[in-house]
Amino acid sequence: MPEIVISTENLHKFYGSRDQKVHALKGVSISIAEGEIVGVMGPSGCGKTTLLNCLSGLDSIDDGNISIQGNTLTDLNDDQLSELRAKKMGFVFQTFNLLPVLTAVENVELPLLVSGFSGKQARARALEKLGEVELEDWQHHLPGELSGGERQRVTLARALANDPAIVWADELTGNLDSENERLVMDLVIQLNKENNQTFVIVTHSDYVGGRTDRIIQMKDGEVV
Amino acid sequence: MEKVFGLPATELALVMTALMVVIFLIIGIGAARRFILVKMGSRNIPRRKGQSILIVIGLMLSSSIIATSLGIGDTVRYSVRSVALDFLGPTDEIIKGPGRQLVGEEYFDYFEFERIRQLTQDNKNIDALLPLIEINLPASNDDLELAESNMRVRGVDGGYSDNFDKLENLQGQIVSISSLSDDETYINLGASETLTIGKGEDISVYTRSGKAEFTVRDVLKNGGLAGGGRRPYILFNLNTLQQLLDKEGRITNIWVSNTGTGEDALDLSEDVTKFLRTELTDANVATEIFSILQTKKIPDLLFEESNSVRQTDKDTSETLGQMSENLKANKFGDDFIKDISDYQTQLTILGILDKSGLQEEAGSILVLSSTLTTLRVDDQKSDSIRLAERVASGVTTIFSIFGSFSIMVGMLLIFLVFVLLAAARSTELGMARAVGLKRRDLVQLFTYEGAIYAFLAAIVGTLVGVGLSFGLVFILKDLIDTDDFVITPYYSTISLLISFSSGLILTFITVVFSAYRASNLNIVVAIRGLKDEFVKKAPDPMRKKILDFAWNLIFPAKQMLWIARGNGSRVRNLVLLLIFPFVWPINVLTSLFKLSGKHSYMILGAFSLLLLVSGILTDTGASFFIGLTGIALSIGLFVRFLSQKFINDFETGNQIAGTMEGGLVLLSNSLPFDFFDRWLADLSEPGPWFWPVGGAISTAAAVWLLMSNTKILIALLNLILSRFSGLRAVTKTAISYPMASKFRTGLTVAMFALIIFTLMIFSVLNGIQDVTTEQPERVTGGYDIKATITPDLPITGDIRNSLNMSDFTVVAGASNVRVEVKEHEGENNTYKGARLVSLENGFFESTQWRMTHLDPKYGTTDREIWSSIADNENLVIASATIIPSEDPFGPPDRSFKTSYLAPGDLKEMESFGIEMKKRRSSAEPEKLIVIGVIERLASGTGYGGGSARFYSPRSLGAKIAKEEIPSDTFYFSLKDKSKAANYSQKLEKIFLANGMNAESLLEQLEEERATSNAFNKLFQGFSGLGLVVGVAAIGVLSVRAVVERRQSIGVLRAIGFKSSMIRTQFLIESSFITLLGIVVGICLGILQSWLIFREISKELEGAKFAVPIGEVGVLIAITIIASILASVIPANEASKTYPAEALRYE
Repeated sequence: MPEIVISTENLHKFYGSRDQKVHALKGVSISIAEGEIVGVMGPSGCGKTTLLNCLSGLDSIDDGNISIQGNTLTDLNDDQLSELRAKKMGFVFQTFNLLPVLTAVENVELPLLVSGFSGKQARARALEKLGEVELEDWQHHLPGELSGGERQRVTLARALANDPAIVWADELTGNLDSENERLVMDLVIQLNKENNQTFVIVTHSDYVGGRTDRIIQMKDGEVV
Repeated sequence: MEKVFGLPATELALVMTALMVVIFLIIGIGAARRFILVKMGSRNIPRRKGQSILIVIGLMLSSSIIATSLGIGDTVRYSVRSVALDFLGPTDEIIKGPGRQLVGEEYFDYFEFERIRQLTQDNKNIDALLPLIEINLPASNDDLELAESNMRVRGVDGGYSDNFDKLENLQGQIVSISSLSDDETYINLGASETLTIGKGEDISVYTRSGKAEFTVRDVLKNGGLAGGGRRPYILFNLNTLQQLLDKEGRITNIWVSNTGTGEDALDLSEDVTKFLRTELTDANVATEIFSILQTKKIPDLLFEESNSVRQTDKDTSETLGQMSENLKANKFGDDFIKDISDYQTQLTILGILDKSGLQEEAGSILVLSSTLTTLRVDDQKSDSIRLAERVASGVTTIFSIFGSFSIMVGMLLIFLVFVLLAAARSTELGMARAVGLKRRDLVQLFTYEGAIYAFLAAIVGTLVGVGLSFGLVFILKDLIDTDDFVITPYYSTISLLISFSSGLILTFITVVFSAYRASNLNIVVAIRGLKDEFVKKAPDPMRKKILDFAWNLIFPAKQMLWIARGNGSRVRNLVLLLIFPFVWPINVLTSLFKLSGKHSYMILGAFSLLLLVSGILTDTGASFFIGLTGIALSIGLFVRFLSQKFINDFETGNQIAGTMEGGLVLLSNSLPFDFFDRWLADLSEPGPWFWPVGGAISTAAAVWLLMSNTKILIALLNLILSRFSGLRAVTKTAISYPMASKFRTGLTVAMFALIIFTLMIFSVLNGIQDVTTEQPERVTGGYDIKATITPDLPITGDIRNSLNMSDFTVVAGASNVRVEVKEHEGENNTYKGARLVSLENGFFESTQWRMTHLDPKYGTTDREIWSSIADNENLVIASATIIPSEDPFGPPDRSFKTSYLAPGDLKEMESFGIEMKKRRSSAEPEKLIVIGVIERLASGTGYGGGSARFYSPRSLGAKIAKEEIPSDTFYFSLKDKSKAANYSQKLEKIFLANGMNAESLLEQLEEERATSNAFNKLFQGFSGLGLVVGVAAIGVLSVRAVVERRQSIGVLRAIGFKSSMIRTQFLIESSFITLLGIVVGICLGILQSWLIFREISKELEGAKFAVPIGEVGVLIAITIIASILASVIPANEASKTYPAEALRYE
């Protein structure tokens, strides 16, 4: 039986001021096992991205409990959360979110430098990861000089650079055409198999949802 | 002030105000027509209060600096004026003896006063006359053993003084000179305080006949007849003083008071002076001179000379020009008499005649001129007022030049702010364009916003400037207040108007330019937030370019045609037609550059070559150097053209081209000052305004060079910083962001570089002065005390007999005689004033003054040269002031200058002949040989101008003067050098009856150095004001960066950046930009100061070039700390941004 790496209990999240409060997550309780590829789906505004942000420690919660690999997030301070993200997590966003002023290889090596790798080690590992996404030849290009699919592959390489236990992906194919969508998902599944990493993918795409191991369906801040 | 930046102040204020009104009108009309644009523009101001405040702080600096410069100028003018008015009281003109006496006060008969009184009694412009004796005498309070060796003493004719000026005692009662008895005197408050003497007490006065005691009848308030400033004065009845001095029936001055008071009296000064000079000139003699000057084409010669000195001596040029016209028109009158009675004009005319081989005419005029006038008339008050104007204008210019760097930085900030604002609002603006706003609407929108900033900044800036000027005056007060000169803060309405309007106009012009640039956006690019290179505008077809150029050649005709045919907006076309003198050349040039396209370098090269050649032909340094810079730039642009054609990699091509452009311009601006001397020796030095222009060009070139090579810079920094594991990730982003935004980073770097550049020059040049600390003997000559005595009270016999010579190693006396000198065979063959200092032999054996030039035929060391003149009265050594000075700030020096030497010549010189004669005499001149020139340091203590001086043995002085001239200056070397201050006091006591004033030279040097340092620090502080702008720029950049990069902050937090790392990243980023600016500034500053040092060291042997590491370290630290402080708030804001929130931000 695979180990549970992500679990939540009665998760609540509110947005807005006192007068106009939005109850974004209404008692969400889920658990995800190691090596799973889980899709989070649902209509716009149902709380998918909020759930992802809360699970990854990018956002705080108002009530409930989140445990990541045995760490209770609410017990960690901001710096500890940052360290957890740097060492155990990888992120992929819909808008690629590469730093426009860094080249592909520099973008990939950045989380490695944060984790304390030396410059040489970070560069070697970044090149290796770029190789895995077949972009070795584009290492010195700036994000602006790459296509959408290539940028998302760089983002993926960056997310995997630290060999994280969990990869969070928010609409990772949202900006891609169907051909690139297929290529990226092939890559995700291949990496998942090779490294046994857990993927949590927020998506609108039925195609992406169809390729995940399991889907968490959400509506109005609740898991349905 | 009458003149500001060389322009008439009132007219300047009027033009500026008119321009300001025009600007307001244009804005007002535009705003009334489309108020929505005002709303769109202005609503952004309160939206980001912090940013708006930073912008106003940055923008206000131009107004502040102009306001400060003008305020200091106003204060100096007002103070010099006040001092002149206070000293002179109701006196407008002073009539003195003919100036033929060599030493001491010149007396003339009281009868002359009676004659002048008769002559002037019907002149309604003259209110009153006062005959008096004015002289310096020692005085003491014997009871308290207090003495003043240089007391000003006035003997006033009581019969006329009451009518001339009111004398008030401290209680405010009016007192009269005529009420003084023979043993009574008045003293002013200054004298009372100096000698601690009150009413009814005794005061001793020393004359040639010994000490005399008087009772102080009353103590008077200072000012006017009782003596201005805080200087001590004693007032006698004229008869009493005449008897005391053994000068019965003689006086030294006649004071003239014009009718009316204040400005009214001053306005009459020219008429009264002309009247008096005409009346005091023998009209028959003047007629004879007039007739001589009409012969042998002399009027043409005068006209030619007038033209040739127009640039160097405007006054003389005008006088000669007018005289030439009068001679040609046979117009003998008051103007001619007034001019010919001026001694300097006589000398100039004699020189012209001599030069043209008209020795016979020159001889006749020389003889006639000795009987032309019996007395001199000085328009003392208006002369002082003119001096006040000149000094004030000079001070304003100096402060403006030092401040101009900050003004430039301020303008760069305005530009930067608008670049950032445009970037921030690009989507909004693109949308506005998409829904139908025209490009000019965007210009208006930005202009309205900028105008509000400009207006607020001009108000705040002017007020800050007024405050700053008062603050600086407060510091100056400590530095330059003396008994004779008291500085009083003042600010004129005209200056206030000029500062406000010029600050506003400068800001406004930059705002419009920036708005124009900001409005130049591509709608698609702006809406989608793409980079500009995604959509490039197609170039105009060649036919259109040719047509544009052709139309622009006949721009005014085109505008008229357009208006007639109704092409485009008629109002716009009419405005352009009205301002066609400005627009025409700009349009022709712009369309010419557009026409030449990629080959613009050819046009730039051709124009630059034209400038360069015209500079060579007219010997104008400024156009030569600008032409040279232009050629350097066009070569760089040619390289860019080649690299675009032959190098496929755009970035590499860009790097090579940028390096060449920046490098070549920098090189052309960094050549040694004498680089072209061997080919173009007559090239004039560009004026002081060229300095900031050159500085700006060098800085721009250096920053361009740096920003073209960011690739190398990033690689280098990564290599260095990768060694610090904790900072690796942070520094990577901190460096990459500014390096990616080259334009804004370059602008900010340029701002810091410009200011640090000036500060560095100050620091390094301050260090060079320290040669006087290490080798004070080069200033003091190795002597400990220098003492002067009142020339009217010479020491009888040998001074050594009155001293205990076992305390001294050297005692050497010197006398000085005013002489006239010209070159024997050189170009400068017109007699000019100079002083001959005749020294005792002890001086030649002991002096440690050094030579900058010497003729090896007479000796190869300084000592040998001094020894050569000791026993040869045909040889002289000259002061450095005979070498023409290129100091643009110094007062005009009309004393003798040599044509054989130029500043910076080599140490070895060939001796040259001069002719020297007693001043105002027709005596046969002595032919002498100048064998050496003393370095400038040695002229008294410290630096400074002063007129030409020649040093000789005693015998030459007597030979020239035709009489024995007693010593009036003494140099003492002590066995125990530490007792200089004590001995100075002792000497003053021993020689009190001679009015000796003795000073420890080392102490004096120390004081001068302290004052000079304080002035330098003051200027440095003023120049450093620009740092405020740089820091404000960093603040604005950081605020903007946090907003722009919110999403990136989210990503960084997501990949593990701690909040402290985000803060550190922003702080490193601002420090990095600042540091780049500092490095560029320091390098440029060191380069420029080394070039200046090269020039100085030619005349200042032993000067060492050293970069003051400590001072530079402090400068770097202060600048970086200030930049960090400016970015702390935005950096904190960035670090506190919640990652999820940041990621959501679009």
